[in-house]
This record gives sequence, structure tokens and C-alpha cells, in this order.
Amino acid sequence: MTTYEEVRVRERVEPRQMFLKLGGWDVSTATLTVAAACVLAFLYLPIVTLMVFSFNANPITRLPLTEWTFFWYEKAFGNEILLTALGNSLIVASCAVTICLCIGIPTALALDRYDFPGKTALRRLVILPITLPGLITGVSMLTFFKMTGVQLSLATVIIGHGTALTAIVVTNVFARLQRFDRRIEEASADLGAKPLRTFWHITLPNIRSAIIGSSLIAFTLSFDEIPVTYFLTGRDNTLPMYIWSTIRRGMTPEINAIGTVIIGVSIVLLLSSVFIMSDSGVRKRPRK
Amino acid sequence: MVNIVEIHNLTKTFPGVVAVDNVSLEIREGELMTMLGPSGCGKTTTLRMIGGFEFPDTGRVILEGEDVTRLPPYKRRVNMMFQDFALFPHLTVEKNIAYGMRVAGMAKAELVREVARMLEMIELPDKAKNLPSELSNGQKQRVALARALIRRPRVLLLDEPMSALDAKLRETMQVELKHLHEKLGLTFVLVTHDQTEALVMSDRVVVMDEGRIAQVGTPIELYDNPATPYVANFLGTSNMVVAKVTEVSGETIVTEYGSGTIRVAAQGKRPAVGSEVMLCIRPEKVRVLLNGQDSPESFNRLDGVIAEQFFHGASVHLALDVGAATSIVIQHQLDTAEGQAALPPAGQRVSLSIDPASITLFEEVTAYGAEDRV
Repeated sequence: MTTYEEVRVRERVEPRQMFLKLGGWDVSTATLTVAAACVLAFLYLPIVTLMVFSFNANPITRLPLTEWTFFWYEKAFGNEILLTALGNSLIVASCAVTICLCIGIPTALALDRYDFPGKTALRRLVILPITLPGLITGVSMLTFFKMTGVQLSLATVIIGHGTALTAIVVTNVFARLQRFDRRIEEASADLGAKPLRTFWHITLPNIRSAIIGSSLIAFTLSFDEIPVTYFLTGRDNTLPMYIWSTIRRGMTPEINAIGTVIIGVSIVLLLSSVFIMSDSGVRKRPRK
Repeated sequence: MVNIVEIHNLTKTFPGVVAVDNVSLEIREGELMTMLGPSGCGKTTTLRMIGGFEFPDTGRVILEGEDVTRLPPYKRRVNMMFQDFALFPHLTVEKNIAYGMRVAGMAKAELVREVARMLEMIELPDKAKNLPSELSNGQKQRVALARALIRRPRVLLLDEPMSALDAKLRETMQVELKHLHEKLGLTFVLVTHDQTEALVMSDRVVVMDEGRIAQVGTPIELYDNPATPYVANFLGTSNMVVAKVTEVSGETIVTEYGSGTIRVAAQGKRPAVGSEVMLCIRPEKVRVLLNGQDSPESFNRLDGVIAEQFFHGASVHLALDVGAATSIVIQHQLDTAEGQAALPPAGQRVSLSIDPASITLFEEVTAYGAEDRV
């Protein structure tokens, strides 16, 4: 009798034998390596370039590299306008994420648990803003604010980002709730817990990863958002707006430096979000 | 005996279905009662209404004399062991078990003691720090049990407790649960679709059919005196044959089945002569007469040809063609040397002996066939 393992081993070996071996060199492996390298280069070479030039003394982005320096970092962090823009971006992203969570979590819960007229419509409408180009969101909200006489400021930017990004929280939390076994909530009630306690101690811990993960994504998207911000900001500048306007006057290594910092922070956030989202504590149970 | 739970005229409808239809039931203190029936018969819904997870459309649930019909689960002194256990996936075994008493505000030191006692009881002290995902199904079931029992409920509800276990473990757990029930003296209400489980474990069984109670009684009562063909067919295996009444005299009803006649104890039934009735003949109550063996005069004698044999280990089921529409299946014990030696081969003509008192007669003829009795 053939065991499953044997079948797997055989399947893994046999296709390889179809390829030629040239002087001990496995052609298929080589091809794959080259292809992978090309794809990675395509994706990351520009970023690496940016990081490398942020440490290059020559103010003109051009090879060969001259001298190793931290000067651009010092300059960037001594730049008041840049720092203000960075601060604004952090404020906007944090507030937008807060709005997303305040609207998104209850919406996801309502969509998952209750039947009400217009439920399907709501589900689609909530998700719509994320599919709309930022341009449309920006223009329409600008029109709306102009019409209602709301002064453009960071607040309007926050509202703009909040509406566009709520969908991320709703979809992620909703998806997690769909996989969530409602019977553990019944078990909690059965063991004497009132609904609020059940929510805090049982429901929330089991959807927490979806909440944190979607918050991180929403934060990142808000942090580097330009189109909506462009239409909705008053005098305040966010970091991407500042960078964009500076670059129009010529590339400076200062931007490379701040870019490198952002990349570093993004990677940390990204890795932590992947790590959190992948937790497998909750498993789907068949619903009755 | 005191009724710990009383259900009065409970009805519950879901869109398009009447799940529970005017069910009344009394559960006595300390008994192990099983609600038995196929899926969709309303047994789980009834259990969930006792637990407070569903509210009935009409009717009342009385727990220890108190009307709890509209009370949420967290205000009832009953606890449920869920199908698939519903352990909290993010909490360790000990925290799962402690949860109910933590909610109740038990002091830390006492809680630690109590949890340790429970872990001892379920024989899993070394798994205290494990997550549910790291346990086998059998272990999960025991944790679920401890989690419910730590609350010291007045009634423990068990929703299909064995369904997640494999056949071997199921038997062991049936015995363990029964022992636990005897040890604790608690009232257990169990829901299952497995008739063996119901017969093995229960003090009393409620057989449910399409939202209604078909019969309530001890396993022996139900098995020997099923009230309807449905109950007879659901509990154990049985031959359900349709026969024609030829004579009703005193305590005996004579029927015609195939080429033979079957006499049945009347037990107060009076079917009209010429009408069709349904007979429930248990396979193990039929004896094959071999080598001119004799049987009491009052017993039925039928002649037939062995059509098929189905080996079941300790016994063999023989399908006998008695010249009627359906063959009769009988159980022939193989656990003795005589039984093994006397196993007649297929194709042989044999005589059967059936005690008239062991046959149950139903005046209603229903569609319950004999497909699954082998």
C-alpha cells in the first residue's frame, strides 16, 4: 500500500526529472532564481536607491556615491516645516483611524448580527468609498464642505480619510465576525456573563486581530494619502503633500532621508500587522 | 419525586417551520433525561429554551418552581455543554474553567482551589495552561464539562455531547458521563439523535417527532412497548410488517402474514377483522427452531427460507423470506458454541418461533419501512 507521504514524495521528485541538468546545474532552479531576482529588483530597487542616496553626501542624486553621511537626516529633522507636516500627518492618520473604528466596528457587528431593512444596500454602500478614486471622494467632499460652509482644515481632511477608509475596518472586522463562532458568546452568557461583559471578554479578544490589522492598514493609507488631502486641506500640509511640493522644486536628499525613516516605520507596522492578522486563535465552526 | 424543570405547552416557530409544537414535559430532580429524535425534530430547540437561548412563542418554562420563560441565560441556574463544546479559543483550559466563577465574583484563592479541583475531576491537571486548540476532542469535552459544572448548576444541559467524538471514545464517554451523573446527583438533560446513547445512558427518554413528543418513558418501556410505529422504528431495530387481521378473540388477535399466521397479544387493542395492522417484531425475540426443536404451544410458528446473512460479530442477522412482501430479519446469537454450530446456511428452510407477547401491534399503518433494520 502506498502511503500519502510516499505519493507526495514521488510527485515532488518526478516533475524535476523532466528538466535537463547542465553540468550539475539544475536549469529550472536557476531560471526560477533569476526570475525571482528580477521581480524583487523591479519591486524594491527604487526603494533601495532612495535609502542608499539618503546616506550619500552629494546633494545631486547621481552615481558614483561619494561620501557616507547622516547630514540629510540632521537636516530633515531640523526642518520645521517638514516636522510640522509629519506631525499633521500623524494627527490626521490617528484621528481618521479612530473615526474608522468608531463607525466600522459597530457597522460590522450590525451587518453580521442583525437583520434590518436595507442591510444589503448598507453593506455595499459602506464598501463603495474604497473603490471610488480619491479624486472623486476629494471633489465631492470639497463641494459638500463648500456648500455647507465648512472651513477647510485638518478636520476636513480627517473626515475625508475617515469616510474613505472606514470600509477597510468594516470589511476586515465583518470577515472575522463571519468566521466567529457565536456559540462561544452563548457559552459566556450561559456561564453568567451579561452581554457587555461577553463583548469585552469574549467577542473583542477574538476579533481584536482584525481590528488592529485593519487599523494599521487604514493608518498607512491615510498617512501617505494625497488626492483627498489635496482637495480638503486648508493651510495645513501633510507630509506627502509637503514632499510632493518640495520635489517639484527639485529632488533633495533630505526627502530621501525622511523617506527612509518612513519606510523603516512602515516595515515595522506591516510586519506587526501581518503577524497579528495571521493569528489563528479563532476557527470557523459550522453555523446552525 | 420533585419536578425540577417543567415545560408547559411550549411552542416555537422559526420562519417557515414549527420547531417545537405544544410540548409539555416534566423533568424530575436528579434524573438523566434524554431527548431523542432525528435532526429537525425540535429536541435542540427545546433544550435551548430551557437554557434561555431561545424564547418560546407561547408556553412556559418553570425551573424549581420559578417561571424563567423570559429570563436570559445568565439569570438561570442551568448550564449547558454545547455541541462542539464552544470553548473560548483565546483562553487557556484553566481560564475557560474559571470563567463562570470569575463572572460570579468568586475570591481569587477559592477560585484557584475550585479550578484545581475541577481539573482533578476531569483528569487534566497537566493541561491547565494549554489552549483549547491544543486539546483532543475528548479532552475538549471534559473541559467543557468542567466549565459548566464549576457553576454548580441545578440542571446540566448537554447538547449532542458525543457528536464530535469517534465511535470508540463515544462509548467510553457515555459510561463516564453516566457515572458522573450518579456521583453528582445532578439533573442532566441530554439531547441526542443516537438511540444507543439514549438507551444506554438515560433514566427516561423523550422521543420527539416533528416538534411533538411521541412518547416518554424509561428505555425499557419504550423499547418493549413503543406507543407508535415511529418510536418502535426509531428505538432499536425492528421488523415493521403489515399484516391482515383475520380474527379477534379475547386477548388474542390473529393476523395473516404471507403464507403464515401471527398471533399477537391484544393489549387492549381491538382492530376490525379484515383491516390492516402494523406489527413490530424485534429481531432478537425471534428464535430459529433447528433440528426439530420445539417451542411452547402458545408461540407463533412461521416457516421461511434464509435469504441473506449479515455478520455482526456476536450475532448474525438472518433475513428470512416467509412468502410475504417484506422479509423478516432475526438475530441469531453466535456467542455460544451451540449458536455457532447451529448457524443455518443461506437457502435453508427453517421454522421460527415468536412469543405473541413480544409483538407490538399498531392499528395505524405508516410508511416506516424496514430498510434500515439490518
